[in-house]
Amino acid sequence: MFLARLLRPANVAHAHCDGPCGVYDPASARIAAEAVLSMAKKALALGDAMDPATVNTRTRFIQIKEQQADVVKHELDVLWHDYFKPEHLEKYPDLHDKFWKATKLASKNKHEIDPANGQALLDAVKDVHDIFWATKGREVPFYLANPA
Amino acid sequence: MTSKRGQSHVRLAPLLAVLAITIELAAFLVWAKYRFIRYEVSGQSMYPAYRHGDWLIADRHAYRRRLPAPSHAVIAPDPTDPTRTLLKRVVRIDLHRQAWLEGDNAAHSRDSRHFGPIPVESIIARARWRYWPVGGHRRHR
Repeated sequence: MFLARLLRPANVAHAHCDGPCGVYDPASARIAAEAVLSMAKKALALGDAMDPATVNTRTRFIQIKEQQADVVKHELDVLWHDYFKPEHLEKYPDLHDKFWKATKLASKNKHEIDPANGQALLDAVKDVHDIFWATKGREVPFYLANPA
Repeated sequence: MTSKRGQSHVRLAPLLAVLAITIELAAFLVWAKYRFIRYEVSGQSMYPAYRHGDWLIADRHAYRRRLPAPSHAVIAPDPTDPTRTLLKRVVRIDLHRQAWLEGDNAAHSRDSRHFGPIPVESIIARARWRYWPVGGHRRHR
């Protein structure tokens, strides 16, 4: 230990990619994915009514679904591009495939209105969550804000 | 008397030799400390040549008589934050003595593609040897 302290450099040479905050968390993607699922469920629950109030509410739900699906894509991209490193890919060779499928699911949730797609997106985000926290050596539960 | 002086010379000789070696060693250490500087690598933008946590020795005199050349790994100040130093690789030197630096791990590097070239004179040192982890001892071009 003494030798390690003696040899340890006092200077740091930064080889960083971005700003040095280092704060990443898949929770942002999870919250947005939950919103996508919730909006699909609520929009379908409105039924086929075409009165102005229902159309207005349905439009709002769909608009939020669109926005939150984009948020999922952005949050996943940040993790994919900025957090994950080549050595993570060595350990999880299907990492790229998982991200690609997750972001494709986000797009599918924009194209269609089906809670099954929302659930699939949430499951894909959970996959990323599991890998992310495994790379940090931590066990963080994948809890849902709206478990129902 | 003559023989006593002779004996004292004999006794002094090893001491003088030790003293001379000590002085030479001290002089070498002072010179080495002045010329070389140790850095710990933080981040992955130079992967796989340098990984996060590597310890390396850089030569502050490397560019006293010559310009940095493409492929040299160098230590330079961060133009966007003067309190930080960067480890990047020289891609080219232009006619105005401006160095274009990039990380080996281009997809995960903030470098001259973001902040432009930097003056050659601002380069602090050339990264020469990685001494930790042990086994990674090799010279980097």
